[in-house]
Amino acid sequence: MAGLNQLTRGDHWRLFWRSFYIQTGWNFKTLIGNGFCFCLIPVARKLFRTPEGKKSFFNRHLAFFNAHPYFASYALGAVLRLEEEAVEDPGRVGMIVPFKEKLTGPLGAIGDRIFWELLKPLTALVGGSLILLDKTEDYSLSLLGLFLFLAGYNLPHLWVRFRGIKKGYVLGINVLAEILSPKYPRLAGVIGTFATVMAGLFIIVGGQWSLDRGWVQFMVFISSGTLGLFLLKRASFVWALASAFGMTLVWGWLGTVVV
Amino acid sequence: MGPEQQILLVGLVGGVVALDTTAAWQIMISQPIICCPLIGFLLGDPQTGLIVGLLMEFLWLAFVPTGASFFPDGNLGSLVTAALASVGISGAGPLSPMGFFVVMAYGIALSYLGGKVIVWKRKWNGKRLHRWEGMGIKGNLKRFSLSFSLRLLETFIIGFLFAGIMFWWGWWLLPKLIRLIPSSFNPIFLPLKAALLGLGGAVMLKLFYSRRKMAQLGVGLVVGMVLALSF
Repeated sequence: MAGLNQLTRGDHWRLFWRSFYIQTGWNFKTLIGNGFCFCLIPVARKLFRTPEGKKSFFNRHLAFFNAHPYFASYALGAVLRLEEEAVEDPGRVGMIVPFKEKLTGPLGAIGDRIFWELLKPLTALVGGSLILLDKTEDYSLSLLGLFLFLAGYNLPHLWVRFRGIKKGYVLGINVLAEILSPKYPRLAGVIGTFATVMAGLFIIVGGQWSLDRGWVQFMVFISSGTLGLFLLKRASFVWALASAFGMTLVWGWLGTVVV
Repeated sequence: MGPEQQILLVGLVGGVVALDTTAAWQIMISQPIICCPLIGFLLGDPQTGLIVGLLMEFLWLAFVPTGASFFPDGNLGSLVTAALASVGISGAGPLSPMGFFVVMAYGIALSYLGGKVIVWKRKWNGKRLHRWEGMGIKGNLKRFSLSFSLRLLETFIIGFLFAGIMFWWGWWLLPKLIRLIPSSFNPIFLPLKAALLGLGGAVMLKLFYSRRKMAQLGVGLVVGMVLALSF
């Protein structure tokens, strides 16, 4: 039972590396449960030397677990700490699974909101706007846009993955209070503000891009956007998509008739 | 580059895209805005890849991949679209507006099919659970790690086959479809890029706009006008 109460730099990096594969075994029964188990294997090797210990470890961690893949790092660190404590005090083993269950909702909600709903569209808007503005022959502005998309998204992503493990390990069971702290909704609000500004900018830049290609294209941009927004709110994405193809044909035909 | 090499290349990039989409990393190299210019560059037409990636990116941002929800796999579908658009399908020169229309429709249909493939793969992973549980009962950490890692190879192969086959199929089928439409209809299909860009803008507005955020949107519109005038 070596390595108690010491998350070595090697363990930290191994957990960090494995956390990139937490969704590899995603399934509809345990979701990322087996991925979570996979991430903890290097430290389980250190903590549990007997077959019974290993079996008990699998029993706890092959079960259902869900979280946003990046924010799951907080759970990995905290659970590692609890596992270490349980080696010293076996009475604490029983609290590990209920603790994981408590983390499931908040970790999923915060991560989905910050990364999927806000940061990804925001960085895409930055990259996309630069591509639309690019009139250079060497695509330098487009390349800058692609770089900003990747960097703007991945710097926070990698930071959350790496810091989450350490923070979870240091806080242990108190990591729940950290996750539920108001700083994350505040952060989401700030990203949302920037994203709204960028959405406005993107629409103007997109309109200009269409106008550069002629009035028919500009009218298609406006009508497809307006009808699309209405259908996205009132009907479904498929209808909005069909309307964009329909608008192309209608305005394209009108363009040929008028011209 | 010959057709066989193109298929192999699209398949290889498809395998990496499939991995980054759900199974590993998720560092966004699989996003259409990145993988489409990349495949366009590899096939000799980065500009077409760039525009396909841009249009597809904003369409598929309408879907948030939360929990067990179904979402179209816009990444692989977009990759195949960009590849077909970049080679001008069948190597018959630059793609006509009608060709672009047909290729985009094909890519969107593929994205929905790709979403079904992800669901199927996840169900398949579920069927492995009893084997992993069996390894757990024996306390075999090493075999579990190995078996789990093999799922990465499986995902890569699925992505490789999906992208490669769909590229080859599109390369074979779409020119036949395009030939059915008289070429005099070509100008009618010209505004598709603007239409999809408009829809992308609508997706963004649906995500971010509310009455509370009117001022922020207004700031964006003004900054956008300044930028549009200065570039």
